[in-house]
Amino acid sequence: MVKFELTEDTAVLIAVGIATVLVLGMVVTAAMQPKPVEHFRAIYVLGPKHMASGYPTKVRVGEPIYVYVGVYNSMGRTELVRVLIKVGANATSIPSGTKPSSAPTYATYERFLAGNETYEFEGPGDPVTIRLDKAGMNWELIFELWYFDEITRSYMFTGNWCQLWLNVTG
Amino acid sequence: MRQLHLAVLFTFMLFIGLFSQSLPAYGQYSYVGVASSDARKAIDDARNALYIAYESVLDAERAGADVTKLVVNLNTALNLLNKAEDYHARGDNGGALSYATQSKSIADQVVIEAGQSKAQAIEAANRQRIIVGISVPVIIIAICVGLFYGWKLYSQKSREKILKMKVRAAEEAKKEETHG
Repeated sequence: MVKFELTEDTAVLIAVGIATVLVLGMVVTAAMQPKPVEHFRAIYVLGPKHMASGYPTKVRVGEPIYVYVGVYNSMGRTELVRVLIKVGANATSIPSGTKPSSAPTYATYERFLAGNETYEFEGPGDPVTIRLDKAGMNWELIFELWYFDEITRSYMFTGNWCQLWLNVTG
Repeated sequence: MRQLHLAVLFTFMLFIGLFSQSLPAYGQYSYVGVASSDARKAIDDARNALYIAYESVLDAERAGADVTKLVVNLNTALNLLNKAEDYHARGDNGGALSYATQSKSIADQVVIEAGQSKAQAIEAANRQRIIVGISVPVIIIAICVGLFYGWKLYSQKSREKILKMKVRAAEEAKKEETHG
């Protein structure tokens, strides 16, 4: 039978063994942890040339307005999102971070987005096409991002929105 | 009389022609004379089925399943549902019912597939846990045993080295004695 003797050598050996076990444990735990993800949803509007410029500012009644409306999901899970396009006038119905605009809804787009997915909605002519049927100054096209809350089974306003200012001539 | 027969035959052929042309418009389904309330109910049922499907996909995703294909199917069901809403708004209840039925069918299928994906993901996670649970102690034991025997071997070698040094010193002392 081997007799165990606690000498300086065996003490060093035990210490190295414990340190190895601890380091290995920490490495395994760190490797098994999910990567931290910053949770947010985003909406963006691009001009007719698919760039963040050249947005329409002056249109005629009934003239098509082409824009690209994109949404991005960084919630780390699949999301059902809805974009509401609203038409307001003279800054009377600008949404806030918590409250959506009270302006009437012109169009609705819905989409299931996988985690980390970006999607651009398509209208009849590839970009989203909007036609305003009334002349006026300082019309606002408001693009609001909503998400579906599976607990309450209803759509909630995310607080994310974009807007375009337009003058519509007759 | 002959003219009447021809007129009846022509009307009959026209009816058949029109009816057969309307069939492909709704794919494999065809609904004629559908009430608006029936179409509305079908759309509501389809929307409800879609929400249930979404919840089941979220469940599968939480379990670690790859839900890429399921999300594609959810979007297909959603597009069909939106078409059903459009048809209903235009007063085409047959079309609305057809698209709503197709949407619900896809959503129901998603629920089944999400359940299977979830079960597979749970099984894979358990398997991984077992592999990690076994391999970590094995690696730790292997490292400890390796360190122990490595240290033992090193100690033995250094002891032998010291002993050889002692023998050499003794031999040198003996040599000096004989020469002296």
